[in-house]
Amino acid sequence: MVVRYKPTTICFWPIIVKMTSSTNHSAVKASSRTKMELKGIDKYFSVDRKAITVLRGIDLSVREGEFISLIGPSGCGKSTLLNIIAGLDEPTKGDISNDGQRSDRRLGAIGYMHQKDLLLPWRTVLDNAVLGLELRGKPRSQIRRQALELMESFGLKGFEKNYPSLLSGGMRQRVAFLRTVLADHDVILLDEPFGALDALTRANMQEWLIELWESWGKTVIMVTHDVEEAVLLSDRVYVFTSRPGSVKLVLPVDLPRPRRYEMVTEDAFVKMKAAVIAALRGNDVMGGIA
Amino acid sequence: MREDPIAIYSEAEETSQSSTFWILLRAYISAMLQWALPVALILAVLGIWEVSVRLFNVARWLLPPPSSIGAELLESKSLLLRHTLVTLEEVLLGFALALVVGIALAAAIAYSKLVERAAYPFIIASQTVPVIVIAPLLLIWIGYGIWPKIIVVVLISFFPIVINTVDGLKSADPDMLNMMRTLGANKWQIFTKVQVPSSIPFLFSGIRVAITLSVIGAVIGEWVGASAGLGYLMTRSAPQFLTDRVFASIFILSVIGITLFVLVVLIEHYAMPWYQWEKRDKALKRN
Repeated sequence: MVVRYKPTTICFWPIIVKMTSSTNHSAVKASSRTKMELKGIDKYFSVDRKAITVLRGIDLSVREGEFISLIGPSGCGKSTLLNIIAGLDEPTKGDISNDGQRSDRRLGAIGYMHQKDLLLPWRTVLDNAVLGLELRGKPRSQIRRQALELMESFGLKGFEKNYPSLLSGGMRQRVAFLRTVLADHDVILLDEPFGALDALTRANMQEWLIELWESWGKTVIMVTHDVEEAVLLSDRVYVFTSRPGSVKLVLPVDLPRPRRYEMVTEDAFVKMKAAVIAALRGNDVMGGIA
Repeated sequence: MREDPIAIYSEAEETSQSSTFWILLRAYISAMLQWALPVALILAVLGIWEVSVRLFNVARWLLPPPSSIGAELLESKSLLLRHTLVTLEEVLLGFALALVVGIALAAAIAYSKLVERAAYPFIIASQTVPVIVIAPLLLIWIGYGIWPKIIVVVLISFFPIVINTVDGLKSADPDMLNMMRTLGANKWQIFTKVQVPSSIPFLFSGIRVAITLSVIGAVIGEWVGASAGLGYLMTRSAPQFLTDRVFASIFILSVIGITLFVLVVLIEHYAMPWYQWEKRDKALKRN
């Protein structure tokens, strides 16, 4: 009897997978060059003829190859901010520059991974993964080869021809990751990429993302609700106030890389976590008084 | 190569060979029961019909028993076959045309708000005017021949195709459309790569309704004016009290309808393997 799908490979995807170029991952560091800069971003929505301020005076910058997290209470406009950065929405006020130039055409130039995997159910894993390259009219055989090379490091080997509905939540999310990675944008936005996963899968995926990113050198902006996740993964953490969202605290995380999940119990980590939580909760108290 | 999704879930429970045998046997019996029950029901209805017609001495011309309908099917098989082929041709041509017209209209409606506002009143009006009124007009305008029947079939069966396909084209997850935009897709790529595929299950629902309506459309078309076809045969046979022939025609029409319906379901199954997995996945999660 051929045991093709062991339950264990579905639920606990091994953490030990190394990226192909992970030998020098500690050497990858954010350069000092500013990749993207947001200045004085305001966003109003009009609901029933009343203007609701969602974002107020957001200043945010990210260096090339840097990993930053945006954390804040629900409804603080983090996702709106990601939509604006991705080019799906425009700010009411403020400027966005990319590589030092005003950036009006961001749509299609910045990678964006949603909380939902948004895989196309009628496409196999492989065909989902190559979507971004396919849209740019690259030859089919070439993009397929490119995707197949990465299948193993994404834990998807052997599942290339399956439809997404056969995969577990963690695997589906990795296909979405692969799709985002293959689209090959310099800046990648992650909107609560692990929000829909269970705690165990989530921890594995976090560690996997650390390795992926450290070998990869892309600029990442991640929105999350999870303080631990923000501190563990990021170079800097932006803490947002509740609506209207504005930047409350920017915390540099100078923990050594490569990061390991075990670090969450270390003193330096706990202190930083406490600082973020204090900023978040102070926020709540203020809200209660107002 | 597709793997059975059940395998993923059942792999956890290692089953010994003897219990596998019993599981298979149980599955086999329940599959047999699924078919046996409807068949038994049909046989029971036919049996009650046969017995009560004979018991109460109902006249043949009023309500023939199933046995004499069966006899009529055998006796006049060449006559029935000739008329069946005429009707079948009208059904298939009309349905094919309805499919083309329906999909084209739906695509135009989904693609442009202006077309939607302009076309919808006409589409709905075409359904509120009874076909039985339009059919004689078609006869005056176009005359006898196959075309008035085909037009009646199209008028009746394009509607569910249009309505369902429009809903399907609009059913795509807005987040999915945004995802496509962030990957740099243009409007046409979003249409062909997301909206069209997500409309296919809806299209098939429309087709299943339309294919049965096509049979009705062909018969109505023949009723109004024709020289051949099962509808024509029925209008000729009823005044002569050839009631068993009328019933034989009804029987053949039902067989045509059911066969075409099953054919559509089969095509649906093989055209969208992903949809079957998705349905099965949802069913598994519900349990």
